Amino acid sequence: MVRVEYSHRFLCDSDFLDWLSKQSDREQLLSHLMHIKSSSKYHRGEHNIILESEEKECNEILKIDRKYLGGAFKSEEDPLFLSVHNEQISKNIIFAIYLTHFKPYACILLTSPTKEKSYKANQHYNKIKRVVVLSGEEAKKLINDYFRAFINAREKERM
Amino acid sequence: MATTHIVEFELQEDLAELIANNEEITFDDYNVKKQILETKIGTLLEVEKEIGSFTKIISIKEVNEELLKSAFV
Repeated sequence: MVRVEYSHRFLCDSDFLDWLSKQSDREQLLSHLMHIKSSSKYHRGEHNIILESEEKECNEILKIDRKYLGGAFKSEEDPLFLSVHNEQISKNIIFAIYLTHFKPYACILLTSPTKEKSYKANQHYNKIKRVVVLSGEEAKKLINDYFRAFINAREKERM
Repeated sequence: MATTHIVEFELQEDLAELIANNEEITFDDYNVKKQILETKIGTLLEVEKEIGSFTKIISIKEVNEELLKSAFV
């Protein structure tokens, strides 16, 4: 079986999806994310997450077919503990921190280059290292690196 | 009886394991099963299923960039 121990789980927001849908290599990036989600050693089918509250926010702008969005990011019902937060950015950061309580104990929060600053300025993002906010070319590079890890694992399985 | 259609994305080996371990997985067309078992390990598949009481696998498609051209509206 092709299983990869990815170093971080992914949590994305609607800004990331909007950014993704505008990239010239969007089909490739979406395909890579789908492969990563399906091959995670610890969280097969649940490696990449989007909060339901975040998904609802992007209903109007979303340009990705729901079927394929689900293939790339599992929609996760907002846990009750997020209800004390009004700001969506805080919800996402707190939930990303929550995801670091489970293997691989680290999470990448994928957003857009324009939204990245708002995350980094949020009080909950203060001094934490297990959650990393990424966007733009850095996010693209990481997704491509993870996909290469998948390809390497697949080559070994096929030998 | 109403049936439920679902689409999932699974690696070939996970789908093959499901077929090998759950006798309630059925096929309308034996060629679909053959196609699954003959697909290379590590291939990501779009799997269309129908759940009545047993689960029927209707079709599979390989996920690639060509397929995903229809993902963006």
